[in-house]
Amino acid sequence: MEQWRLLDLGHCEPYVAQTFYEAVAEAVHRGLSPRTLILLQPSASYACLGYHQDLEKELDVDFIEEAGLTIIRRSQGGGATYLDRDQVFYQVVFGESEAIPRDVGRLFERLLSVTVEAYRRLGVPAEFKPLNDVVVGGRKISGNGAGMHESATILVGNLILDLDYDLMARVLRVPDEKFRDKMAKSMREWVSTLRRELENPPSADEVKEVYAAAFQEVLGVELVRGEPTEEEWGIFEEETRPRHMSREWLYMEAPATQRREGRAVKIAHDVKVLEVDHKAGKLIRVRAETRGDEVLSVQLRGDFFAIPKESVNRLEEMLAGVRLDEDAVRDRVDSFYRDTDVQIPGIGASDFATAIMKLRGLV
Amino acid sequence: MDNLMMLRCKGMVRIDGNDFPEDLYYHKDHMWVKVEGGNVRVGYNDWAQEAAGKIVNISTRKVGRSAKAGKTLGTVESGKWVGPLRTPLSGEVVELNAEVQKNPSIINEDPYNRGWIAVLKPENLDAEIGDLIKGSDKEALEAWLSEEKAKHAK
Repeated sequence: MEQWRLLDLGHCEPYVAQTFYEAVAEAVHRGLSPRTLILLQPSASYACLGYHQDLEKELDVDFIEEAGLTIIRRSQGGGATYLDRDQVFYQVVFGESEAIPRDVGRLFERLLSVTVEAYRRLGVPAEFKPLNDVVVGGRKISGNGAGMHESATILVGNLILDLDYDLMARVLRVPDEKFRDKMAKSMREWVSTLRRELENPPSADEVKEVYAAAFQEVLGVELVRGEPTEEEWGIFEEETRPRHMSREWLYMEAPATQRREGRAVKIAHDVKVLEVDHKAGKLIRVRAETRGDEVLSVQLRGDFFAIPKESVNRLEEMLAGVRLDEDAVRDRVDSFYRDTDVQIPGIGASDFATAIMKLRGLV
Repeated sequence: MDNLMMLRCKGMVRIDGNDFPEDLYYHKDHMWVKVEGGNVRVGYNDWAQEAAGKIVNISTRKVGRSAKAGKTLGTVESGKWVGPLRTPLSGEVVELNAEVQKNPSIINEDPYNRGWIAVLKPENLDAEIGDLIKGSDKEALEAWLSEEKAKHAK
């Protein structure tokens, strides 16, 4: 049976929690370390940025610094998030394995089936949602990312004991507080935790034990408890930690894809909270919650005025549920104008349609 | 457009549903290379783009920067996976595909034409090109790819 080393690192300060696995990956790449499963809890709260994200666009750096939190840019993809001791991290690092495919899609499917099994054993009816989500009743209950370090494959994820939704919404950069409220509400709706799902939620140690057992049984491998090696700590102290603490790394220039107009925050799987502006004769500001290309809800603001005033609420209601398809959006806007006899100086039906369709660039 | 025409006219090796144009060279870390006079145009091959899934972010070395063969030319992100782009031939970046920088999923749609990533000015083309697999050498291509697939599919 394939053997894996199990490193239970207990509680770790943020840099160890978020980047030590890279030192393990380097050691695996150099042939110094075996395939490894790391389990740990962060000992302090921190904000974590996706590899390709723009720091200042995503995170409220002033607030984070005032609150004394660390900011770490991880080497994996995905979006900015807030992490703390109410989460158990699993970090899977390997060069070659008979048990796990390296193909991205199948890698996620295989390893997330371990997460699903662990949740089920804890009493939560979790399911795998392709491509890389674990959900319960449609709500996200685990965040995951993957990547390569030289020849080593890495997958990291978490089991969520509890979540401070307000703080999670607080660390992110937002256009204004209303956007933040919408985002926090959306997170409550679309992200769940063990504490929300279970009357008697398990301890972190129990969660680790159950995850380790599921890892062995789902993958058909044997975990052997071990300790980090001196080489791994050496790589971490000399290479990994200094790189992550450098300004060059933290303020790394984001790719062109991240410099798009508007603001998008991913909440869970395909749910996002978005804001775009469209300058017609007047400014139209569109704020929306979307799932895939479906608009769940939308708010329309700006410097325009409508007669009668309430009619804009009617348009917002009519747009809920619409797909971001030009004809579908145009249809709804047209019937709004037809049904309500509304007058909005400086703005026509095509302006609203164009403004709504701008969301498409961000979903 | 002439690139596109050329590919349509010339031969294409098709291995298990993925295309490998015969007139290109292939680096083992999944970059394709097209020799254009003294420079080379490079991109991500069809199998690699499919294995990665829809590419949502790309970052690359800037124009004017150099890299040795096998070292990192940049990174791609698909879903929540980040993987490296390796430099297939040592040299300097002389041009980047601005369209792909803005909309990297073009790599998925059209990996060998509109999805090109960079143009490099190779330092040592004659010596290093021999390390790449020729698109016309179907046997070598198949042997390399089946090894890669075995690694990924277990």
